This record gives sequence, C-alpha cells and structure tokens, in this order.
Amino acid sequence: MNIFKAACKILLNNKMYFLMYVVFLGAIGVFVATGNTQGATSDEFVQNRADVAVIDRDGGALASGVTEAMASNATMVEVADTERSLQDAVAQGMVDCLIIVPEGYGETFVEAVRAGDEPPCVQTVASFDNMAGFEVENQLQMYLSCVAARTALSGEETAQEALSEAATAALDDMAEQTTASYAIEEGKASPLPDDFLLYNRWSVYPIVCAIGVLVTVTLAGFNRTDVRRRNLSAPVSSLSLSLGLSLASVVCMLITWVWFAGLGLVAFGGSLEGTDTWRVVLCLVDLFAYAVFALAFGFLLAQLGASVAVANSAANIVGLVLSFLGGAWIDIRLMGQTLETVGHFTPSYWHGQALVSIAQADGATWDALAPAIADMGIVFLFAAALFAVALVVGRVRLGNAGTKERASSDKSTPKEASVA
Amino acid sequence: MWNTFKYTTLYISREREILIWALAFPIILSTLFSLMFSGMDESVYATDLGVVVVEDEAWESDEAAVLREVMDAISEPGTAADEVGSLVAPHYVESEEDARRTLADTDAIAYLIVDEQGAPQLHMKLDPADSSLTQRQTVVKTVLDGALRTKAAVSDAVESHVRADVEQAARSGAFSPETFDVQALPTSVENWDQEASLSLDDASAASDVLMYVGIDVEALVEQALAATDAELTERVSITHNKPMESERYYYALLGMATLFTANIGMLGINRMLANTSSVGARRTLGAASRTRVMVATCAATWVLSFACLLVAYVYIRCAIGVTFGGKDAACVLALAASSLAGCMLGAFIGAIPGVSEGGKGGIITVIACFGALFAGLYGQACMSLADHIAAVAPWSVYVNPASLIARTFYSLYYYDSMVPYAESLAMLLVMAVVFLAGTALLARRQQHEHL
Repeated sequence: MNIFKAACKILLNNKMYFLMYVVFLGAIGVFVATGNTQGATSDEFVQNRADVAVIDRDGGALASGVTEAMASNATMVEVADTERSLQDAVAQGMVDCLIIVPEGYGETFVEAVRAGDEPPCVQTVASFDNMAGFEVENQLQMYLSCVAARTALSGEETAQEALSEAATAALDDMAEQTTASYAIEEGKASPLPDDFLLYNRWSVYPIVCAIGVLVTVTLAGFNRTDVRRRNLSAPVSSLSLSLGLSLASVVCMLITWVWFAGLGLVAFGGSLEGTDTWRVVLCLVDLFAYAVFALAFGFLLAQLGASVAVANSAANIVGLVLSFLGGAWIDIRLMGQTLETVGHFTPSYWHGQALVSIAQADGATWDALAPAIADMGIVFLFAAALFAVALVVGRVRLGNAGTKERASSDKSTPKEASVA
Repeated sequence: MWNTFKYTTLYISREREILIWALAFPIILSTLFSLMFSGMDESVYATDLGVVVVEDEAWESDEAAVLREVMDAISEPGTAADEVGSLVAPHYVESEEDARRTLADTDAIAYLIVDEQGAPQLHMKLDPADSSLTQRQTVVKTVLDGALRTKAAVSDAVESHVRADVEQAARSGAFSPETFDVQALPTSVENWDQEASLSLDDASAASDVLMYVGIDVEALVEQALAATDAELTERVSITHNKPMESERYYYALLGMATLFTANIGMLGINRMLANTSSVGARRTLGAASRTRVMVATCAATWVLSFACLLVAYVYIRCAIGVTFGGKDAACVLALAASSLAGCMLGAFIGAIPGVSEGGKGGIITVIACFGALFAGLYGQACMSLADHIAAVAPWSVYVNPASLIARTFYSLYYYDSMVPYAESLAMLLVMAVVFLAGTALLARRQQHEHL
C-alpha cells in the first residue's frame, strides 16, 4: 500500500501533464467535434454545403442573383475584397470556392447573349478542396445558363429590365431538384451522432500522450538507481512492489478514461438523446480498450527506461502517428491504399473501426455486435502484445544491468587491489 | 567567450536524447506526412463516381431521353474536375432489387431510378466511415439537377416568348380569330392552362400551327439551348502557388519541431546557472563575465538548433519533395529566425529559478503541444480551428511561436509580395529579443545560499 501511495504522490506531483493532456486536450476534442454533423441525421439525403464567398464588383441584378442562388445550396462566407484577404480565404480553405463577378459584368453579359456572341465568364477560384470547388462551379454554371437562356429569348425591354427579370426567374429554375434519399430502411439513419463519434476518434492522441507520459513518469520515479536499490533492500516483497506500481498505473489509466468518457457524455448529451444506451456503452468500452493499450505503451516506455523528455517526445510522436494512421484526424481512405493497409496494423484504426461497427450494428444481438466486439478485441490484443514486449524488454534490461554491474565490479577489483 | 561557445556546443552535442528528438521528430513525422498526403492531394477530385442505373422501361422511355444523354455525357473521359477521368462510372442493372444489391456490394455511391413521369430519383449509400461520401454524392446530384434546371429554364423561356409573340400578333391584328383557327389545335393544347397533359405529338401539332403564324418554336428552343451551352465560368488563380492542403501541415510541423529544439536552449542556460550543475558552478566562479557566458551559451544553442532544423528542412525539401514555393534562401533565413526564437524561448524557461531540468522540459513540451495545436498540426478540424482563431484574433498568431513560424513559410508560398514574410520574420526576431531580455533578467544577480 505504501508503494501505491508513493506512486500516487508522484502522479500528483505531475499535475501539469494531467492538465495539459487530459483536461486541456479533452476540452479541445469537445471544441473540435462540436457542431460536426456532416453525416446523415434523417433518412432524407442532405447534400453537402460548400463554403462560398461572392465578390460582387458589378453591383447589378445578375451579381445579386448569383449570391442568392449560391446561398440556397452553400454556406456563404464574408470575405473582404482585398488581395490578401482573397488569397488567405483560398489558401486557408476558409472558402471552397471564391466567385468574382467582374465590374460591368451584367451589361456585357446581356449584350453578348442577345447578340448570340460568347458571353463573358464569372471568375472562380477553388481552394484545395477541389471536389467542393467543382460542385460550386457546376451550380454557378447552371444558374448563369438559366439566366442566359431567359435573356436570349427576352423581349423588347431594356437590358437592365431583361437581366433583372431573367436573374429572378432563374432562381425559380434553381429550385428544381432531383429527388434524393438514403437507400436504407426508414429510421436506420445516424444511430450515433457524428460529433460524439468524432470526439471518440479525436481522443486517440491525448489518451496515448496522457497515459503514456503519466505512467512512464510514475514508474520512472521508482526506476531511479538509488530508489530501486532502496526498495530492493527494503522488507517489501517483489510482488507487493509490482502490485503497488501496477495499481497506480491502472488508477492513472482509469482516471484518464473516466475523464474522457464523462466529458464526452456531458458535452454531447444533447446529441446522444434518443440514441440506444447499448451503443453509447459500447463506445465507452471501445475507449476503455484503447486506454488499456495506452497503459501498455506507458509500461513499455518505463521498461525502456525513458526519461521524462523522451517519454514526452515518444508519446507525442506515437500519438500523432497513431492518430493519422488510424484515420482519427484525416479520413484514412483519402491516404491511398498503402497507408490504409499500414493503418490495419495500428490499434487506433481498430478503435475507429469498432466505432463504425457499433454505429452500423442492427441491434443488441451477438450476431449484430460481433464485428464491433472483434474490433475491440483486436485493440485489447494490441495492448496484450505490447505488454508482453514490455515484460521482455524489462527482463532483458534487468539482465544487461546485472552484466554491467558485474563488469564494473570486475573492473574495479584490480584497481582496488593495486591501491591496497 | 569562444571557449564557452565551443565547450557548450560539445557538451550539448553529447546529450543525444535532446538532439535525436530534435532531429527525429520532424523526420519521422514528415515521412509519415509524405506517405499520407501523396494520395490526399489527388483524391480531392471527384472521378469515376460509381452510380448504379436501373435500366428498366422508364429509363428507356422518351421522358428519360435527356437524362440518358446527360448520363452518357458525364461518363465520357475528361468530364471530371481533373479533366482526365470521367465524372461517373455507370453500372447498369435491370431492376431496383439488383441496384440495391450492387450498391451494397460495390464501391458505388448511389443508384439512380427513373419514375413513370421520367423524373430521376437518387438513392444514396450511407456509410458513416466515409467522410467524403456526401460530397461525392452531392456532385452527382448537382449534375443531374443541372439537367432538370436547364430544361425548366428553356421551357419557361420559350413559353414566355411564344406567349408574348402571340399577344403581340393579336394586338397587331396579324393573329386574329379570323386568321387563326383554334379548332386546328388539338384539345390538349387548347386546354394546356387547365393542367391537361401535353403529348409530344400534340406539342408538335401546336408548333406547326404557331409556325403557320410566324412563330418558330424549334428555333426558339435552339436559341435558348445555344445560350446555355456557353462556358460561363472561368477558373483563375490568385495565389503565388496552387493551394495545397498538405503544405500547411509541413509548416505546422516545422513550428512544432522548432519548439522541440527549445529544449537545447533550455539545457544550455539551465546548466549555465550556478546551482544546477557542476559546469554552471565552475563557470560562475570563472573569470568570464556572466554576460559573455550567456551570449556564448545562447549562440552555441542557437547554432545547434539551427543545424537540427536545417537537416530537417533539407530532408523535407529534397527527400519528401515539399517545394516551399521554391524560395530556399528565404526559407533558410526563416529557419534561422525560427530557431533563434525557439532557442531564446528555451533559454528563458531554462533561466527560471527553482524548477528542475525535467520540469523545465515538461513546460517546453506543454508549450510545444499547445503551440502545435493552434498552428493546426493535429488534423483538418484543428487546422480549421487555428484558422478561425487567427481570423477572429490576429494577435494570437504573434504570441504563438509555432503559428508564427508556420505563417512565415505560408507567406512565402502563397503571397506574391514579400512584405508579409518580412513582417513574420521581424516578429520572430522581436520574440527572440523579448525572450533574451527575459532570460537576462531572470539569470542576473541570482544569489545562492550554497552551491
């Protein structure tokens, strides 16, 4: 019990890591996931809304029509008409597509269409999300085509009147839509809210860092040569020492898991309303499995004799690598086949897969839950494998330490003899 | 002073843990990034989108003729946004049941069926694991919407034009009950405004009648369609280089790597202090002034961190192939300023009295993680968050070294003007001076009860 108490004291002395990796990064996870509802929330298909900014340098009816037409299918973003603002908007992906309506565009457009000439073009600037940019360009081309068709057949009215009428009427044309729905049975859409799923995926990085660093720092305190010698010579059995340290590590893991699980439930409680309880419970079990893996990782670091600096660096690098390869931050399907294959060899990938399997399960039956349970089982197996490696590493290091000690004592003996 | 510089460089070089992580971190992560982003920058184009089409009687009917043309057109090579592949890869099946099965078993994103009136209906696949699925489905839907919208615009424009012509003809007397035999029109055309359905034959008959009084409906339709055929949008570029999502992750990575090299500055100054190491105690008692020792120590740590970052830069530039806009000299200058700011930050933390070396290392890790988070290193969501914060509070970039470093490289890549780059560089130097002043204030006149 004294060992456990001492380990807990070491943990308490490292509150800074707890604050940073658990409290702060947990809050960031909530912030990042909040409002993320890109998936289906009903059986009705909701199309993607690109971020669009219209830079109106014309000020006419056609430019207003373009803005209105785009607003019905996209999220409008305000961007100042300065060179730097426009560059920032596309470079940072603040907008998927920037639409620039040049000065005098409407007038030139009417004249060209009525004369049967090639009309001038509206300029578009796509950001790095080319798919969304392409979609916006399609919408824009459609709207301008409708205006062109109506303007071409306009009567004797003035150019401004014709354009104004055509721009307004084309907005009605844009209301025409293909009927679209999900190819699923009614009520099957979105069993788990997207924001909660994203939060659980995002937690991969802070959990590895938090548990990895805290466990290493705690165990490293006992691995210091003097402390170790003292403990080995103290009337404490090896079993008692190991149990105390293991208990402290498990407590550290449990605190982290409870924090992340609780934060997720509190922050996304509104989104989770109406969600099956068993799905939420399974998500938390999945998070627990990942926390166990992080515990094994921390144990391995400690067995390797990592210092605080090394533990921090290693946990950050491993956390980042696992997050990316597991598709926690960027969809792994976007990374190509090779990386997707490599991702299969990471626990973070199976943690994410388990979340998908939980979301896709038809009901709380063994058959339906088998894929989710298998995915979580793989995460537990990763933890077991890493734990076994850590034990072997510890054993090897202990053996080497003994050899080194013997070697150093062998070296010192002749010196001492000669002095004598 | 030279000796202090030389031996500080030597003993920090022997701290392999610090140097390995300063070098290993950017090299490991940039290698991972290169593997990840090689596919990502290309996959943003919608190409060969699998659509299952139910090829039944309704699909073959006259009502679906336009839809068939559209589907054939977007299946041609060169119709995708990358102007190489085809936008859609259709897979034809005979029944809706087959379509459902094919949708479930293949990479198809939707199936398309036409109802009796010829109206298209899309049934989308639902896959929570595929974040870009909705976007790809939207692209397909938008193209099909286009066919409906153009049809609606052309029909309405022609109808309005014909109505206006008929009214004018009636007013001018050229089109009067005496010259126009209403009985010649089919009943359905006579009653079209009472929502009677018009067959193609009826429309053709009506068109003949209108032609008789000088209104050529077909010519009007062709005129309207010709107007819709024109290319009305033009993609232009307004940035110095093409926007690439992956580039910014490398900039944020360099920001975090720089903050990791702050450990070198911390180590140098921490061990210079009288009560932290035997070297520090010796130096304090030595003949060299504190100022000279501190300047030499800072210079040595800066040279080491600059060297680490330079190796990382050369690796990212040459082995990974990140272009950095091709401005290598400016990038090296940016690295020099970045490493100076990072090093001085480390020196400032190293000079804090009463905190162990491990504790100071922890503080740097905390700063590095926070900094990298707000520089957008941790994925798309964080990058958006970082951009949002930078837009709402522009000053936040100037207090976060990682953001400022990322911004410096960003300025070089995207802006035509070198002014934003020079501004960022100046801010990095100001940051370095502030930290150096802080270090001097903390390290001077420290008194120790015992050494």
